[in-house]
Amino acid sequence: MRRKIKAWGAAAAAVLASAVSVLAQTNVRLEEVLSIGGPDSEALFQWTGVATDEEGAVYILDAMDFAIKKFDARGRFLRKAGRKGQGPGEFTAPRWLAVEGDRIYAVDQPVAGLLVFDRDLVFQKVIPLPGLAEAVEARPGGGVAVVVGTFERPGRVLLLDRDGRTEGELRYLEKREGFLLDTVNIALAPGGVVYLGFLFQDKVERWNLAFGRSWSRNLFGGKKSGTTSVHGFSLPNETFVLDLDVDSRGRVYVLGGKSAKNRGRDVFVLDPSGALKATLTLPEPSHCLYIDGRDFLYVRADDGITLKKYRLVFP
Amino acid sequence: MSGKKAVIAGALVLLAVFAQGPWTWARAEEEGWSICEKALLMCMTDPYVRAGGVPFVFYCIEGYAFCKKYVEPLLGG
Repeated sequence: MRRKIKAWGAAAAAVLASAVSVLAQTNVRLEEVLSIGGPDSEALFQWTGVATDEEGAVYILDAMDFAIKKFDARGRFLRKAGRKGQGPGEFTAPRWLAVEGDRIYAVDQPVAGLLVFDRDLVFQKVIPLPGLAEAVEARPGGGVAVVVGTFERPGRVLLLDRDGRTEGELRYLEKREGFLLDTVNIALAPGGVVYLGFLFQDKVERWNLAFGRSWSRNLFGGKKSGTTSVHGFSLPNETFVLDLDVDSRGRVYVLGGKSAKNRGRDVFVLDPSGALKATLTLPEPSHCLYIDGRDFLYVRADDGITLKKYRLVFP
Repeated sequence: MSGKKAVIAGALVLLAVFAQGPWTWARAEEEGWSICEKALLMCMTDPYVRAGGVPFVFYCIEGYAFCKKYVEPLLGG
């Protein structure tokens, strides 16, 4: 009997905690502070990746221009590098980038490696990787973390030093569960913390490089993606987490995909324990979100012609 | 949709389609595939890609993931 009462007590506490968590949710307001590009501008044609340095300069990959571009903190164009091709410093399908120290690390989709530029966008070298890079993020202590996709070893984040030497790896999946189900975006926080947002699964996870997985949670009721069979490959067709990033206070911002009420616009703000603390809705759909060192938010607008920078105002 | 946006939307489709080759339009249309599934099928049935074997197929699948994330929402798929 006592055990039963205890179980009911625990269940009631869980319900109460969940209710409190819902009550604790707040809506975050966005104040636009900068806009780069636009329908009447030639600055950006179809941007894909963005990152900033500590001086506030903004680096943007432009898929339609096959280039990496640098703007100052006020959004003024400074320079660009790259062109279409497969030569040194050239791009075929520019995707993501990260800024760490005085180096810019860029992902060109067909290249099994990272393209390295200096802050003046002078091409330095290619860091070879064992597979295609799906995401790249600066590590708080220096170097970069790269999600590398291979058939043989799915679910792997490589930890590289500044020169591209492998210092370690995070295995978040032991075996392949299905094509693309290991596709993740990553966000890194001090203390060896790695957040994973699964593109084709309703799953956000927090890992610690030393201790393994801390927690795993869903945001869309644990829904599963449907599949489409294309040329013999059964592939998921519904997106869940388009991107995620973490601010200086450890808050995690998760951009919802097709499963969200507003695809590419709904952002869920989690605290480091995974509790949902706030939500916000972007004015326009975005494929990614980026939080800089001063906690400003960068997202897509005008279908990729414009990059918007916002101040996040918590009530 | 403004002129510039229309041009970009069209170019996006080309971006999503990594290679050209014969493929079964009829089946794709019949099954109501989105642009990403169609682009993936084109990529996988391309003779050049097929000659490359597994790594190139992986490249096609990676492209599909990017398309689902980036391109499909723009086209309302």
